[in-house]
Amino acid sequence: MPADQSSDFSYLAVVVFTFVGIAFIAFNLLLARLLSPSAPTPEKLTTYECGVQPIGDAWRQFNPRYYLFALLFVVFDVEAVFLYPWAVAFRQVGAFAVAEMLIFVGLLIAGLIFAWRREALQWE
Amino acid sequence: MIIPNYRLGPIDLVTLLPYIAMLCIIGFILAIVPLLIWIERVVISLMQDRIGPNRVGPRGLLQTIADGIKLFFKEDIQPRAVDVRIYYLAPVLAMIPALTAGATLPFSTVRFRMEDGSVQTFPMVVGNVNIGILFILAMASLQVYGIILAGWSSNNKYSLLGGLRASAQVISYELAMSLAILSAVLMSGSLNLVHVVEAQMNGFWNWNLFAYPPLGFIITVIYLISMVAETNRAPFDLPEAESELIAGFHTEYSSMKFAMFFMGEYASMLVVSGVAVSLWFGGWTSPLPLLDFIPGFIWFLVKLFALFFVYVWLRASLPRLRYDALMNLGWKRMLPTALVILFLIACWNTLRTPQAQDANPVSEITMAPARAAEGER
Amino acid sequence: MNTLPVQIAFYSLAALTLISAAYVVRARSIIHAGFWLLPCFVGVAGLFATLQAHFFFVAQLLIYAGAILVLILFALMLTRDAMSLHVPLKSHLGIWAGLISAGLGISASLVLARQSWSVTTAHPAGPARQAEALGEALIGLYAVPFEVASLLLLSALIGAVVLAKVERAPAPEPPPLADTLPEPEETRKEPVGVE
Repeated sequence: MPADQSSDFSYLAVVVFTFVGIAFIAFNLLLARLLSPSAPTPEKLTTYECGVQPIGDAWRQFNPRYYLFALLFVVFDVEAVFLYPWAVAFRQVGAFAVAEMLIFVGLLIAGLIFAWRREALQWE
Repeated sequence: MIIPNYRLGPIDLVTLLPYIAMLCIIGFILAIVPLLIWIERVVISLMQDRIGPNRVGPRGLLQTIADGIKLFFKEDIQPRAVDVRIYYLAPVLAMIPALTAGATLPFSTVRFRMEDGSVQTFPMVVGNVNIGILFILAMASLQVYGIILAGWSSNNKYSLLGGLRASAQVISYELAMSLAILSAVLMSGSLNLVHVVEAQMNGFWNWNLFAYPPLGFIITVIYLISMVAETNRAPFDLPEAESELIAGFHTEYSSMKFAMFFMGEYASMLVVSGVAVSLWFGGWTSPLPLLDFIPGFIWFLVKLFALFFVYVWLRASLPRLRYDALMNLGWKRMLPTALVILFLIACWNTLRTPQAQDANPVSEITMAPARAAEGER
Repeated sequence: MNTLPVQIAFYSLAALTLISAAYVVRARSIIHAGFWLLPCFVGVAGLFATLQAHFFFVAQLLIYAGAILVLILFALMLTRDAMSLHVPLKSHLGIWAGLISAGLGISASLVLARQSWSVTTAHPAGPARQAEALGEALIGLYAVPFEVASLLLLSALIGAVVLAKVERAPAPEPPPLADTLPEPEETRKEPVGVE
């Protein structure tokens, strides 16, 4: 095999595997469609809320607290992605890399402490 | 065990290896998931001092298969209020990331005798994508969409609440998880799972679990906790809390669609456990050098089952966490601890730099079929 | 790298990205538009993979598909009336939006076409080497931008905390247990300190 295809080839196997997985799931769902009985009644098709008649739909506004955690997650996720190449290259550079990482992570830890002190991490 | 590299025209066994691995994984998931569910039920029964499944097959072994067949014949209810297309997409999306992540997980090595008589070792993996750990992490982060889509499309207040809770939980613990993986990368100096496992060869004392004592141990525990939380298993199974949310995001799913969520949960449990085995517990390598004659995939399986037992043990022993306690644990305990440990490992590593010079040792294992990729440096 | 499988992968991924981007714009409800962003981001990630930019492939998946889209979806779910399918999206600014996008698109493609791209025949580095080289660049040549990125993330974090943190009144005294039982009419009308 030519050298330049090597890594594409690995992805190809993963893609093939994914499609096999999708086919497997689709096959199962279709088979269940064919085998299962269907006897819908209006009551059966209502949304299940413990037997209580549902009032309106569920697409309503929710607690904004989830949003803050998602925002914090994005910040720290980006940080983690930055740190991965650093972790791989780290051994070649040594002490300077550690100092740099200390500043990088230290700033974010300061942010975390700030959020903590402002009780943003407190779930109510 | 050395296998001759059979050749049929332009195709040889080494080229086919990813597809053989693919068959192994698919067969493995199909065969093992029923067994895992059986083990879980039996172990929990034993721990709770009851009998557990014992009717279908010897010791109830066929119970899960009977349950699976039953699910095929159950009525496929599609509630009136749902958003149909997304409602059907969600179970697919719940399962695909776990499967795809499994495709980059090396679970054994095979030794081939090549045409020129030399013996080469190849990893058993579908796609050796070289940044394997990051790819698995990316797939784990896509896992959340099955939950969000299911929760939203069901148009059920409980489902939506469960979905939101689950996704907030998953993203919170993903941080601790990715930092734990990052420290494993720091320990081994590579993003390739094959290299990470290789660095832990020749005995259990080389495992990352025991590296940089006690840092390796602490970070392993952090990974294990976040792994349980990522897969929404007890004691972190709040999204599915029966007592308050009926069943959370899959309340409105019945028949095979429900089974897909169920299988997806087990598949992702297997994948994150497999990552844990590769990162901390030496992967397919044997714990003692004198046990090397046992094939790698058996060691991998033994370790995988041991971690699964831990899952079941936790489920049988611990009560469910309250949501604020869950968020506190993730953000105020595990995230700062993981950051500090990461930094300590980096410092430690620098202090003993003279020994750590040979950062990327020449691998004994050939990167099949990407065997040329390393040579081009 | 112009082998046939790579070409097929490139064009199908480009189609996936463009079509789902079109659906993001055309979707009737904003939450559907949000969902359509997922295949769009995954398609862009796949394009990175076909270009053998392995690290960016994973970073795109992790950050855009895995984190930013979750943020967007949460934002939609927490906005009043944005979630429901029954609230139609109406905008009278369609023409203006189209004009501005067309202008931006044309100017961007002009700039891209004029740029002289240095095409090398050299083989791109292997995936492991790419991450390593990126790391070395972050530590060495681009050390200052690296730290500035941290500062940027810090300001984003502080901004998030300040914006999302609603001023909280001191927590009300938890009522004694007996108060939770049904009470006579007049005491129940007392204002209770619930936010």
